[in-house]
Amino acid sequence: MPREIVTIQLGPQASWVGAHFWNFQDDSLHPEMAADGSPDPDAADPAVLYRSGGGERQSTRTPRLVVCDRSDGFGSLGAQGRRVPTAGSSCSGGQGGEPPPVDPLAWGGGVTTVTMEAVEPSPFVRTLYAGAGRADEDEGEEGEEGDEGDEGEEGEMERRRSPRPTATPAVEVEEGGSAPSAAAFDFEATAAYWSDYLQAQLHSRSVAPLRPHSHNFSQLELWSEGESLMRREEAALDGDSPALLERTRRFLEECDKPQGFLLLADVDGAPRARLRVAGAFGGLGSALLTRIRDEMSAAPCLALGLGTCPAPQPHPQPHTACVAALNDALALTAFGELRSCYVPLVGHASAADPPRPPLVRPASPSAARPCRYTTSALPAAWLDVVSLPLRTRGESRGGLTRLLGGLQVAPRFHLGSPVLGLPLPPPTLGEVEPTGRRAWSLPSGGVFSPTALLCPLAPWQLPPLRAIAFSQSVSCLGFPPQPLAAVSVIPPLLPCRSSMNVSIFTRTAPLSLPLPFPQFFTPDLGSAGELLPPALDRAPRPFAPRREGEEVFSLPATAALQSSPAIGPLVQRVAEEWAAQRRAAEHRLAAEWGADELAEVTEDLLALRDAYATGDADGSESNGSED
Amino acid sequence: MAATQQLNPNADVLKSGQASLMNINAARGLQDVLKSNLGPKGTLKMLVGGAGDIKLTKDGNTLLHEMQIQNPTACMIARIATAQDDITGDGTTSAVLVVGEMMKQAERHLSDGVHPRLLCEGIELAKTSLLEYIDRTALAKDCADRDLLLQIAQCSLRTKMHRELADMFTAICVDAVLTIRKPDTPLDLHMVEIMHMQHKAGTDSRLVKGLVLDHGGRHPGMPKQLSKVRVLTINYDLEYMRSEVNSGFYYSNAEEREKMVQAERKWVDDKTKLIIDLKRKACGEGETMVVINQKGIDPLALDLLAKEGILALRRAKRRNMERITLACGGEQVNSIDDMTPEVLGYAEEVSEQTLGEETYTFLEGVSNPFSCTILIKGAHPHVISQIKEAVRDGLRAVSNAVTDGQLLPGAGGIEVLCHAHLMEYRKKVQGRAKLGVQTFADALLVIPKTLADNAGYDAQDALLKLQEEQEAGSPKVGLDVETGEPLDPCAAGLWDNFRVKRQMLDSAAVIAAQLLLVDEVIRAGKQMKKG
Repeated sequence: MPREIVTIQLGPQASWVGAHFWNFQDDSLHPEMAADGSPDPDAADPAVLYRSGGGERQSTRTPRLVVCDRSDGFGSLGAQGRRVPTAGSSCSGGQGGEPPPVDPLAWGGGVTTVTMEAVEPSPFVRTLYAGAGRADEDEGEEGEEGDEGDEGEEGEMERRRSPRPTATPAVEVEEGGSAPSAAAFDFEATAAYWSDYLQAQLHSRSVAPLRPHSHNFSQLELWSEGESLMRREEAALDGDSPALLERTRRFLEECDKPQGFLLLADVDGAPRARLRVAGAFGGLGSALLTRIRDEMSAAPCLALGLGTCPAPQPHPQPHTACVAALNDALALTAFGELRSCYVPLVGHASAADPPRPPLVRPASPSAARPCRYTTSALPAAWLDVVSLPLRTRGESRGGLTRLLGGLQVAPRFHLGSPVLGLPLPPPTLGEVEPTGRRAWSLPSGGVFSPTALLCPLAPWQLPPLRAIAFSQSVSCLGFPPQPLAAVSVIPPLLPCRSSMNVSIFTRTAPLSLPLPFPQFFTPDLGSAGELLPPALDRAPRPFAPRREGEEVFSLPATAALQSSPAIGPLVQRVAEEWAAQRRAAEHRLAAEWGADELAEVTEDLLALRDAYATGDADGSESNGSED
Repeated sequence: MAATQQLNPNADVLKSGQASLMNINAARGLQDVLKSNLGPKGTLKMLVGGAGDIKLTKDGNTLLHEMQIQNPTACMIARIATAQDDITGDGTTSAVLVVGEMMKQAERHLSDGVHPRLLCEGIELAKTSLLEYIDRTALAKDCADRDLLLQIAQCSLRTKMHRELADMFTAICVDAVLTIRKPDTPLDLHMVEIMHMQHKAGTDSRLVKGLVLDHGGRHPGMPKQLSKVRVLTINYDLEYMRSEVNSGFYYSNAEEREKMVQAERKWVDDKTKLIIDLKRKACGEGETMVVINQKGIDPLALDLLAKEGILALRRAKRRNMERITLACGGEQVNSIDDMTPEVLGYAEEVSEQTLGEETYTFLEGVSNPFSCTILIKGAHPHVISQIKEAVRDGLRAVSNAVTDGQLLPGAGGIEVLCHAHLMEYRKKVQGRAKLGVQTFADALLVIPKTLADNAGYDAQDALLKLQEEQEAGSPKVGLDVETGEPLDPCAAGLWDNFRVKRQMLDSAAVIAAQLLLVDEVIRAGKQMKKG
């Protein structure tokens, strides 16, 4: 029986990460069969994240997802979740004539047309759309053919390539033999909206654009602005309010056995030059979750706090410093009472280091500054790997409840620290502590020491091995077929104080990369994610872009979610900043929040700081459980 | 160099002349955009979004929301005007028109060297006098009279919809409001559910006395058509209870585990059995039961209920829980252990209808409903949203009238009367404040003028006719958009909401005065958008 998860994405960065995440999921829609034809129990079950619907003609799977962003952040994605073909683009075929927009029955008078500047769909979207249009005409025969081909003796690589997006086979045939490669689209430079590289079709209920008036024309930078948005929605003042609660309810109503929620929200309040601050989405998330809790008190939630990746600002202005401190403090504390595990990810906290780019090299020297497309790819990969045990076909893995229950070793422990490992050459930057500089290779290579490649994703988080986790959940993909062998590797890899609280998931199939996944791997990596020999001995080669046709199709990957003092320094910093900015924040919020509410935040933050203190871990745990 | 620039050399500053020019231009620009919308002969606007989404609207409020206004002044006007919609549900377009016109009039005086402060004083005086005049002249009406309410709804709906469709929705809106009206309690329009189905055409819409829910039973064995139905409204989790986060599930052998699982399962089953017992107890011959739960019901519980012939709906909208008890009677059950037959409501017919992947459940034939549903049908989503918008305004107009108990003559009539009043008042005002009063008075005439203009008549011509009628003391102060001739709005059944007009005049005066007093526009912060 499926154990459905409802995903909620709030805010721009959350949408960028989410788009990557859904691209990963696309693979699960084309399940691989085990040798005997039975479904692989460890493969992802699409019914967990997707709803199946559609009319009699054909059933479609659309993500069980609510995505909310500013209305101008959706790009070419229409409010119906489908891309409306624009005149003049190549994708006009297939859908028949557009119905006359004005029903003569409803209005007999004059009509003035006001057209906004059209957002052109990206070439990638256009390719997808064109493929879908043709696939419609062919009524799926094409797809079947493709599947049979996959069953055959073709190599792993070929198989990866063809079944992925429903669109590609069609395109392949049309354009003569070669699948369009991600490199051809150059996403890093061209993706202006997250919908530019999103493969999935969204349900019309998924798309919740936020119009400026529904948040009272605020800048959406303060946590509390998100809450007032929710209040306004409750009062049902606007005909076109995002109606988040209602959308979530509709998705929940379809679930027979809801497992819980995945919440991705922008929480940062960091000031930055170009991108707008989006701290209010965190407040929106916690307000939404509070209301969901009224109706579903039991379902747990994995909340990810994201942020745009700030360029370090040497002298933050006082105005923004207080906003940032406030948002960060609330983000860490607000989810504590909502049966959630809160995971701060990239960009969270005002002066966070940019996400370390060791895993990937900048595609071009000029792209050295992190762009949204790349910074959001890593959290998505992490989320995909770490959540795979929740989504497997076999039920034995336990669900979100067990995952979160295991992590929460005592009350107050609701923060998770994320660690992601990918098999990439030792970074040129020396910041990730490589204990053994030997790189990770596929089993044939015999070397099996992923330690060097584990990268903490939260800002200020201690690198693995620096802190001993209280409990953890690790999932490894692409490991050799004997799970025991992998397990023996894990304890030294991610030290944990009690073996009781470790859950390990291993799967032999590697993490397969979706088509538009950033192709920014160095040439040292083979198409199945293995390290090519020279990289093992030599110093990293100077960067050279990958040639077309040499994409990486899959990677071994490890992701861990820990309850660990590794997150301590982050909490410590947020607490310090909060202490410094508290007066200003109180002043800023005076109209909406009482002093005692803020005092509670301070208290909670201090408790968290003690709980995750790095020094004396034993004492801290008892501290935490006393409360 | 402006003082601000000495402090912050990067700041952009517009000095007094330029500043008011910019404000005036912004206000007039906004007026031009909305002008063509006003009145039954205004045009419908089709907004095509960046992604190709289509929105059809005639509502000033929606337009202002949808338009990406960049100019800060225009933004400010738009925000105040749309705030009016939050309060009264209408009058946005008129407010913007009056403000724009007022700025236009003021421009003349400003270029003659009149200080804006003087104009503002006049406007302020005019506003006070005008509000007092309106309070005095409002016609107290018996707003429980269905015919009168029909006229009001018609007046509002005909401006937004085709005549035939509007007439159909007129009755729907009025009956909806009359249904939910309870003596001595304020109207709560939330008790009118607006549900839409993409099905057939707009003319198939109807008022459902009862409720339409947007989901159905989640079990194939549940009945789709029921009659004589007892309705149980509960807010109780009928899902397999998972253990709390911090509790363990310890067992040492398979039987023990099995037992524990069974014990957990039994808990839900017991509660489900309670419902079934209630059904057996309460339902007589030929009666059956519907369970509507605000929380979840898991498949096994659904199965038990289905076997008993009960239709069960899970995860109902919170607001619907309230509506159901108002429509069907009974009360919501929060603790399942003390259910008695008294908590059940009653509906004559319950049926499920499936359209594509959407399922709708109709609860109809209720005896004394205080909640109802307007079911809007339409062929395309944008037609539905266009109708929805009109219906929302129609409902607001009717409920405003019911709440106010007072009405004003419509069809531009009240503006003509107000103008005449202000011209009288102007004589009493001393000094240059007269100019402000004059400004306000003239600005009001933009409403009848635009009405005439949109209907294709000569604005001046039509206006003069109206004013002549008014001076002659005739009640024919409204404009007949069909003929261009004066008509008596009260006799023709063209009404305006008292509170809408009052609010509109008030906010128009406030916005205009604020804009006029701006003598410097400074762009210093990063967040201000480009003008």
